[in-house]
Amino acid sequence: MAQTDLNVVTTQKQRLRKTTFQNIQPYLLCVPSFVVPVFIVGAFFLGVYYSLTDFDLRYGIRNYVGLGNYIRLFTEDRAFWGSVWTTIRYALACLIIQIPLGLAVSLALDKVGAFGRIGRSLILAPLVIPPVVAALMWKIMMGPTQGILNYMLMGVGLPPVDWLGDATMALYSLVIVDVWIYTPFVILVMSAGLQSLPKTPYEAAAVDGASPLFTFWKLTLPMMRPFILIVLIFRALDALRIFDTIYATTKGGPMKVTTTLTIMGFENSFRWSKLGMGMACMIIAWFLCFVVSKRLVRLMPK
Amino acid sequence: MNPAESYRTGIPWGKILSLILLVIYLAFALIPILWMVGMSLKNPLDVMAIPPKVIFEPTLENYARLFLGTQYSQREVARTDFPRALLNTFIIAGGATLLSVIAGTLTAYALARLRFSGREDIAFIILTFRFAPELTIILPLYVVYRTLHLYNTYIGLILIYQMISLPLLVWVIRGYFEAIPYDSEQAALVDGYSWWGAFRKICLPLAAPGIAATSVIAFIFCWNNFTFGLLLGARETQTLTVATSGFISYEQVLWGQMAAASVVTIIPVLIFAFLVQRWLVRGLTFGAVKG
Repeated sequence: MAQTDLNVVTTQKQRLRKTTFQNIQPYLLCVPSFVVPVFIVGAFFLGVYYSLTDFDLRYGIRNYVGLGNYIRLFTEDRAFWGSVWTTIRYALACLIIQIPLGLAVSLALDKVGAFGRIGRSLILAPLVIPPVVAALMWKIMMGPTQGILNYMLMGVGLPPVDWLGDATMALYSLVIVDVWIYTPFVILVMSAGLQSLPKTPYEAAAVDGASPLFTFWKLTLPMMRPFILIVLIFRALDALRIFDTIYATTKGGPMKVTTTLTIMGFENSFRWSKLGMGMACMIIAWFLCFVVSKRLVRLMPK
Repeated sequence: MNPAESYRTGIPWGKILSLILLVIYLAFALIPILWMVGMSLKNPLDVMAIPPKVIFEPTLENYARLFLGTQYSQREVARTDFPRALLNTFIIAGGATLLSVIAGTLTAYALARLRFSGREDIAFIILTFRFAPELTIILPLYVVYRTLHLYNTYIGLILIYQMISLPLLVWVIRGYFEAIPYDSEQAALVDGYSWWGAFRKICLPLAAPGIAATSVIAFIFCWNNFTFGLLLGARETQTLTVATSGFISYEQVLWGQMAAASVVTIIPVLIFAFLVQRWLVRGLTFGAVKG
């Protein structure tokens, strides 16, 4: 007890005599980490500025056009609203498939015990390889004539599918790729969550004779809520920002059906050299992500 | 293990269904990779075979062409310098991770231990980078980089890769530091160590495994990145991901070599990921979930 009193006295004294160094010390420690973020924030505001100009990469001219780019996107550009809808559709489809599937597989892993541990290591693989490589893999498998997928379909008597070339199918083929790559993420987080759940409610439920369905619906699911939320936030935002996989497979085609906001921003900037317009797309994309992340993070119990 | 299970008798339907689901899912997850490996071992004729060949005679031809620099085609279009890309990716990902570890560990310590106003704001700002679309930052940086002559340089790329590794390292390592009880450091301080001594002798050794594992995870993310290398680098600093995608061009598609390139690209990360899988969940969710 005397020990703590001594500590309190000493720290109080120290606090009264805090040197300038001690005052700025935490900020100094943060400085190295801030060099790059400052760079990035600077780039962001520069990007906002560019979006208000008609910057063309070929000529380098920059005339201030105010909200001209944005207005043109919202009113004249026929592809814009399509790409917004595509972006949202892609994200929703990914979420609807990945989260239940991931939850189901993680529950299965939990039930299976020892095999589950080996299974978890193997399941990691799609998640840790570069998404571009995964997309290229699937592009090969989804080839209309030479792809193994159609070969298997025809083997069981089903007609071949033009996975990446058909205007209605293309986006969903990309969703399949996304599911392949990122469901392991859902599985990993859910598994960690399941293992951290307390055992006593389950014991009580068993003693009371609860069915597995009941225990799942009333016990597991509510207790897993924070983990489901985490997965929802990460997956929703990653799906909204998607670029790599789409660029590597369809590049926004066929006929623009897989053009998300990010792809549109890229095309405007590099295919048509209109960086001003491209930046406007990207700022809108950023804004979408910002709004979604704020609303979702607010749901977190933290 | 659900305690309710032990009270049930009869056929373990739950376990059987789970096993079936797992087998199906594992097949779904692993077959594409195995198919890719198989394709990398096929000779050019087998690669293009219709219908696709499942049984074939393996050859290392694609790997040889990859590393010896020539491309098998009617026209000798040397578009990708693969060994160079491999080296580049190691340098860039490694350099970026190293830089992030040094800067990030210090920042994590400040955010974990020291009380100062604006602490949560700074932490949150670092985190918001995680959720912004990459291109929003890369496009203006493309212009900036070209002006500052940072385009197509190792330093330029290492700097921008911080956007990937730094938020991750700061947030997760901060969690590890916060988990260390303050008493140990306090004991060191009482013994006469400065904050730096306490940091070096107490915090670092205790958090070391977590820091090491998270660094590997950050390295994996940097390795896997595509857009930064695509837009801010060119031939000399080409990363593996960009090089691999370069095998598909408008003139020709070199499937076999692309498959070999893909295999080479994914092997290091698969090994690394396997080694740190215990820490993977924490790293992937920015420390929000333990384990």
